[in-house]
Amino acid sequence: MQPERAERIADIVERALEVQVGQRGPLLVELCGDDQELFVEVASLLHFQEKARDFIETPAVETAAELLADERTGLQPGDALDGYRIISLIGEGGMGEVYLAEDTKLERKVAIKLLKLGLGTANIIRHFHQEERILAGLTHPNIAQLYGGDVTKNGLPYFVMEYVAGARLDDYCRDKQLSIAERLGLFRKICAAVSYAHQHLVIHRDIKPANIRVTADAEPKLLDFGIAKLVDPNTAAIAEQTMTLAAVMTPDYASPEQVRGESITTASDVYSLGVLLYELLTEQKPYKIDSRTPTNVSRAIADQQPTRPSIAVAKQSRTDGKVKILPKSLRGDLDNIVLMAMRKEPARRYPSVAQFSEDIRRHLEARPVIARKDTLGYRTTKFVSRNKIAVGAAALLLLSLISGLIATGWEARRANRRFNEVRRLANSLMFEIHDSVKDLQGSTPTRRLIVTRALEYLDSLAREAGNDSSLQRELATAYEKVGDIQGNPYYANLGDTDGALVSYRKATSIRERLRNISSTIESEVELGRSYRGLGDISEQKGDIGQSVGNYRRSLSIFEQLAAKYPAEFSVQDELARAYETLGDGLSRSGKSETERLACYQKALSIRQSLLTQQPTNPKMRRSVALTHLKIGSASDAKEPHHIDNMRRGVEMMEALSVEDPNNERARREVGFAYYQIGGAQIAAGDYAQALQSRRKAFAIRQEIAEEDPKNVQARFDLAVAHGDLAEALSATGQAADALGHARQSLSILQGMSAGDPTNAVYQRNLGLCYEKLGEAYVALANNEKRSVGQRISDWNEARSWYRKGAELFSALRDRGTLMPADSEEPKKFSAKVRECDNAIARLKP
Amino acid sequence: MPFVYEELRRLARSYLARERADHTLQATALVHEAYLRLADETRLSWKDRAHFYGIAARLMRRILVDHARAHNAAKRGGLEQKLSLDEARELPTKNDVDLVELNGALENFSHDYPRKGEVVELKFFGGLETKEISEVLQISEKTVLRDWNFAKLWLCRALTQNAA
Repeated sequence: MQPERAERIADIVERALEVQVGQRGPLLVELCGDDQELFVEVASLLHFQEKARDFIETPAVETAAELLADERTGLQPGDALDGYRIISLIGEGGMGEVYLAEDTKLERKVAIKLLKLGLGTANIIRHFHQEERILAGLTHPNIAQLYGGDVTKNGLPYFVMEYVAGARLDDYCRDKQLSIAERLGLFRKICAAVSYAHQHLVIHRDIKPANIRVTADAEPKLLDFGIAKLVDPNTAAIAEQTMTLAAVMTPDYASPEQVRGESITTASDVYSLGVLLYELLTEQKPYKIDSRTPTNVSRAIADQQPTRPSIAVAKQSRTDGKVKILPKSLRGDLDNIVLMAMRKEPARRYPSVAQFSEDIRRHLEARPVIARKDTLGYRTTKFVSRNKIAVGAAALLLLSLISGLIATGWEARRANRRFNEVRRLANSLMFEIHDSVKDLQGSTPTRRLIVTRALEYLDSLAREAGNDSSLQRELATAYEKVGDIQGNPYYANLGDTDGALVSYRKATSIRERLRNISSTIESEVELGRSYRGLGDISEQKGDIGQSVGNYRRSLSIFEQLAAKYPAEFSVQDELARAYETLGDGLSRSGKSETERLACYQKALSIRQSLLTQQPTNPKMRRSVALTHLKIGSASDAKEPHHIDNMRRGVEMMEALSVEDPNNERARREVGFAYYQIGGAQIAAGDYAQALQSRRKAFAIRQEIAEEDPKNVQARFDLAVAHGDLAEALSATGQAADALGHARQSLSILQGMSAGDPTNAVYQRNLGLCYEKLGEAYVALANNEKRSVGQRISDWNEARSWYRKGAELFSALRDRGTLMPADSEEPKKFSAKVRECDNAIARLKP
Repeated sequence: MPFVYEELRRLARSYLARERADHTLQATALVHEAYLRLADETRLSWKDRAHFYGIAARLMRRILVDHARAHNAAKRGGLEQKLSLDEARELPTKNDVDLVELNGALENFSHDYPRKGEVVELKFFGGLETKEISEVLQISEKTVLRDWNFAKLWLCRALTQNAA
């Protein structure tokens, strides 16, 4: 039919439907005119108005529900199924029907689970065979054994399982009136079974009383691994389903992450076991819900804190007057154990079922348990530190799970879950997991593995990403994050600079490509930052040329952007930073001092104008102060603005610190600023000013070190400050004071280096401290009021310290740990030794 | 779209297994819930979500029609040949629509009326409300209703003619 024709028909019918039946005749005549065919068509449709009133008004899924409810799979007692004879139907579940049957060959009773037919059959059968193979491999006294499985002649897949005659776990406990210790004993056996399955990379996902039977000889058996899915990376198709969302078969026992549709891990089984234990101990459900609809149950699981088991039991006995379980017996340990397993955040539960079970054992043996009452101030890091190995293991398990995501089903995921996937990886894997293990001793292999997996994942995703630019952008960001962890010097990195470069290059090339399609402020800023990161990493690798090149590229992007958006604060801020970064990069190249100074000056002028827009912005004030200091250090010491800039920087830093006295970083930076200006003043020959600056730097550092005696960095800073002060005191002839400070510096450094003898930084500073000691003795020796004998002895002292310094730096050079900046030190010290020799020779009669 | 397909399929069945004893009213609610979870409201913009609803309704259609097809096949000769007269009488009467036939008719209908066909898909297979459909298709609620009423006449006639 012509589209116009179809439209016309619909239009007339719709208009006719809006008027009374009696008025339709004239309306149709008017609208159809001479078109007889049109009139017939319209009238024929309107004729069905009455009949169509309820037609398809009930959504199909509800009709289908009724149809399915009537569906029978058709096995009857007496039916023969391969080598089995059906005895009776014993249960129905989400996946199918369960029959009691007899294995006619082995003459034993078995349970046969028949899967319902009708929905995506080929898929189910494939899945079924995979599952069967895995589950048949699970052999444990507390898991109902899977004997095998096949497909009926009619195409129905079925499992043959160990038949467990026995009561449901909860009925059993109640009917036998088991004591708490007996219940815990049974529960621990279940834990052992689940833990065993976890070791075989199978997550149960549907732990509930109905799935646990207790045999006549009191052995609990876990049934129905029917929805358990494999976590093995090699069979990704199933692992993928492990990660699927929602579909909570039995919402009461589903974990918050299941309800939220997040990934399901072994921690989900820990949660379900927690609910199970809750019910075993209290004979109540953990959440109080008015109407048990799936939505309400799900909401409670996600948001509600379960009533403490002891309180639930106490309330119950007040209501019905029966005392079955004493609240007292649950209060404390058991409350805490159950609630720890049931925590909303998977990472804060027991890291494994084995640990959960172990804690119960500790309770049974009256030893202190790990579980603590959950408090608001509780921090995950504490948990991590207590469970180092377990967290590492959990991370590894999760990793294997995630790696299962690679290589299959990209198409589907891409369309629907790309945001979740990429973010889950980049944020959860790289940050939550990575950060939770990064401070642990020996976590480096785990971190490397995380990075390797992340890259495999990202590379696969990148191959499939096509022209989807939002996904591409997410990918670029993820590559940058991985790169930072691999080798960005400004992060706690793995020292894999080459890898970091590769990751960052992938990110920049994606961003460059995107730029050709469309560019926004955001995407340009991201590109500029990406080049900056590339520059940082190149520099770390020692490739200063590449580093400066990337900084220049970053700068040119921000320059263009800033020209386009002159009023955009954040863009101008980035531009200033780009100038500053290039300046820093140039300083390492040791060339282009003029350009370097110009960069800093550009940065300063941009920042100053930004500061006039936001005069109280502390970050901007700090940036301006730091830029002043950098200009100072980049300038020729003889230029007057050199010291001026530094002084301006110091003043601003000081003002910031005064306003925010609790800000330790601000205070440390004031110390640093004084340290820097002191160095500049010495270089300019202004010893009196230098002494003042260094006294200030020293006072600040002393304060910080005293506040936190355990802070190694602060102690080291103090040692350096002692030495610097000694230098200025020597230069102004205050030899006795200089000697005192130099000795203090020495004693701190000796202590630190004894604790860490291979630390080259400590060694180097010891050497510099010898120099300060030498200088102090030289200052003493230069005091002509002292006797010649004393002065000769001073020169000898000085000589011996310089000698020690020369030896130390030579040793560092021989060991290959001499820093490039110190390459002249051995020579310098030797020269000072000779100076002393000359002085002594002059004084000797 | 195998992933969403699997997921909806599983949800549909789990619902069917769970709720059979109680009321059937929650079927629609559950499908909505599935959509919400799958779409992860907080992360997707409205545009993505609307898109998602569309996909999900289409998948629901496939699931249900596949199911009906298999069911019909079973009735005709396979497994359920033992179906007794009693059971035959129990077949639903109040909403006597053959999904396979309806699906065929809807395909024809959509050929001439693509947007109206989508309305049917979203409402009947996807279980969406008028307001939601108007947001997904970016048309007014009034248009949704007009489309729906017309489609019902057209499809009802088609199925009646089939039966004849």
